This record gives sequence, structure tokens and C-alpha cells, in this order.
Amino acid sequence: MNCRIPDAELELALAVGGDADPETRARILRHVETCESCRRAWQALEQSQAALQRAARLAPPELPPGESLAACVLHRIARLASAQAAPRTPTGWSPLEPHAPPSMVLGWIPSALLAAASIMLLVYSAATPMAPAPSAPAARSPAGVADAGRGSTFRGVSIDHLLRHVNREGHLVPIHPGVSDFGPRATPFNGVLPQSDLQPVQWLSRSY
Amino acid sequence: MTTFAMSDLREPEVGLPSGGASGGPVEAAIADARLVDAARQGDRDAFGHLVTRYERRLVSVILRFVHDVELARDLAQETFLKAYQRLDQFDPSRRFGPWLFRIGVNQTLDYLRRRSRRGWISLFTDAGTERQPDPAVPDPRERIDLEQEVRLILDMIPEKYRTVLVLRDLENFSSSEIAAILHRKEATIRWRLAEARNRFQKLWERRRGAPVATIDPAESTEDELPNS
Repeated sequence: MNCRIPDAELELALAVGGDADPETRARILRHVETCESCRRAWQALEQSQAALQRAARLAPPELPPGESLAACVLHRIARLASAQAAPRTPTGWSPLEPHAPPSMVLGWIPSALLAAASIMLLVYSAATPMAPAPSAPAARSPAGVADAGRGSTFRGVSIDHLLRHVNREGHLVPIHPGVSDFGPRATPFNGVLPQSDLQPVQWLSRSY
Repeated sequence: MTTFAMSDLREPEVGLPSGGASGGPVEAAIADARLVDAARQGDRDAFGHLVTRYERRLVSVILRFVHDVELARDLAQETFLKAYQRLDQFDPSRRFGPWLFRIGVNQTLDYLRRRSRRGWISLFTDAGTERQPDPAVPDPRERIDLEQEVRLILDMIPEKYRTVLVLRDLENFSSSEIAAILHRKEATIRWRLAEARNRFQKLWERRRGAPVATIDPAESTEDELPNS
């Protein structure tokens, strides 16, 4: 507000809605008569206040006559009371209680920790560079399968069978779409799984 | 068992505390206190009477914020339930009405904040609240326009000002009642009310395309406005 009188805007806003005592209001009205800018502000406030009062008279739809919330509220109170009187669930928590007990709130933490550990293990495994082990036999892959990635090992164990699947045309294709070297040289799947796929995955039982 | 005269159980008409036909605020407050006391001792019917006394006013106030009758009824039910669960926390030396409305307003504002965080307002508010003209009413367009315009502007005002403006200018609570409902000093409420009215006025003029009225210091006189 630009008026020199301190808090003029606030005083006008209170007075225009009838929130100033009569003496104060009378003095404000006298001031408004002599101050052009305050008079404009007063008139603008009167217009917006009139709109608010018209909106206030348009009472929002409420409960239909004769209808009451009391029955519903008392029914819910009775249900709540009976639920509280009933024996508790094994966790000590009643489903009708408004707030879950701390044990319910904190119960997700072990699961979340387990999930986070699993994700970290997967990410670590994927990020580990796959160096071919000298002892890894290249013949584990079926004949004709792409050379790229063939014989790749994860800590000494072949992962060829982890990188391929059979597509609709019966071709063995790599699972990872970024390994394009497998595609053009994929061979038709002859219905016989490679020996490496039939062998038990021994590295799962190995300790690192 | 406490008994109640029918005059004690009339529904509140305007403002807080509820004034029935039997008398003014003091009588209504006494009646409330008796009902609350009975309810705290396990008399659910007494609480039912309190619900009957305040339900229409509470639904009306909540409707000013949520603009949905069914939602307002649900929130009012939750308010009464919460009030019943917290009856032991109620200070009997204070009035029941402001305490109840504080629970209702806080719950409504909490609901709106949660809904706003989920982005539901932007998705559903306009579609859900615009009303079609009712052929039974001669020409409802002006009414609908005014309602929507006022609501739109109110939604543009920050919550702490909007709440005071709605309670004072739309629901006609006094400043002291609003102070009790919002648990703030009355001076704070008056300052927020003035600020809210000025913000509403500027937005109203802007929406109407009129130049926003400001006070020019060069034109002001040296008259001193009184401190209220």
C-alpha cells in the first residue's frame, strides 16, 4: 500500500467488512473523503466485499431436511467400541483402530533391507567385468552360436546359456539387445538344449 | 442419567456457540457442556444430540472448502468420530463448538493438502464442481458464475488467508470464534483477515479486467487512521 498512513490498507479492509468499531469506522470514512487514493481503494474493497457477501448468501447445499448424520456416527462409535472390546489379533492390532501401531509401521524394514541387498547384489554382478577364464572350455556353447560372448565366464563359469533364448523363428538369440554380435550369426534351434544348459548350475553353490 | 430439555438440543443457527431458541450463547454453551459431560460418562445419546446440534453448520463450513456434498458429509462424520475419540482431551472450561470446528477445519485442510499433493485437484476439480444450469431455476447462470468466480479466486489465495476469509465472510464467524477455531491470537486473525480481503480484492479486479486500486502516497492526507 502506498498511502503515507501506516497500515491504511489493513484498516480499510477491516472496516469495509464491519470488523472495526464504530468510532474507528467513522474516522476511516472521514479519511476516505479527503484522500483520493484511499477512496478508490475503499470503493474497490466494497465491490469485492459485496461479491463475497452475495456468494455467502448462496448457501451451499447441505443436509436435506430431516436427514441426520447422528445415526451413522453413533453406529460407527458402537462398532469401534465393540472392536476395541473384542480380542486382539495376534499382532495386537485391531483393524478398526485409527492408527497402526509401531510394529505395523516398522514391519516393512526387514523386507526392504532384504530387497535392497538383492538389488545391490544384482547391480554388482552386472557391473563386474566378464573376463574369460583360461580353464573355461569354449565348447560349452552349441555349435554355430555366435562367437561374440562365447565362452564368456562369470568368475570362471560359463554364462553362455544365460545370454541366449530361443526367438519365434527358433533361433538362439541373445537376451541382451545391446549384444548385436549374436544376432546375425544365430543358428536355428534344433530342439536340443546345449549340454551346458542341462548341467546343474554349480557356481551357485560355490563360495566366493 | 442426565436429561435434556428440548430447548437445549436445538440446532445452532448462526455462529458459535450455538444459540437455540431458548437463549443466547451462554445457555447454549451450558447445554453443550452438559451434553459433553454426559457423553464422557458413556452416554452415546448425549453425543448424538451434539451431532444433531452441530452437523448442519459443520457440513456447511466443510462445503465451503471442498464443494462436494458427499465428501463434506464424510468429512463431517469423521470429524464427529474423531471428536468422540478425543472427548477426554476436551477442556470442559472451554466451549465445545470451536473445539469441534477446529477438528473439522483441520481435517478438511489436511484432506485438501493430501489431495493436492497427489495432484487430484488439477485433474478433477474443474470437472467435478462445475454445475450445469438447472432448468427448474429461472436463470441460474449468474449464480453459478458468481459461485465459480469467487471459488476460483479463493483457490488462488494462500491457505492461511483463505481459511480466515471463508470462515469470516462466507460463514459469518466472528474474529474471536475464528481465533478459537484456528487456535491463533485474535490479532493474528484480524491481520490475516485484512490481508485476505485485500488479496481477494486485487484478484477480483484482475479477473474483471479493471485496474487494481492502489493508494497513491502523494494524494494521501496527513489524517491519522486510528489503531483498532
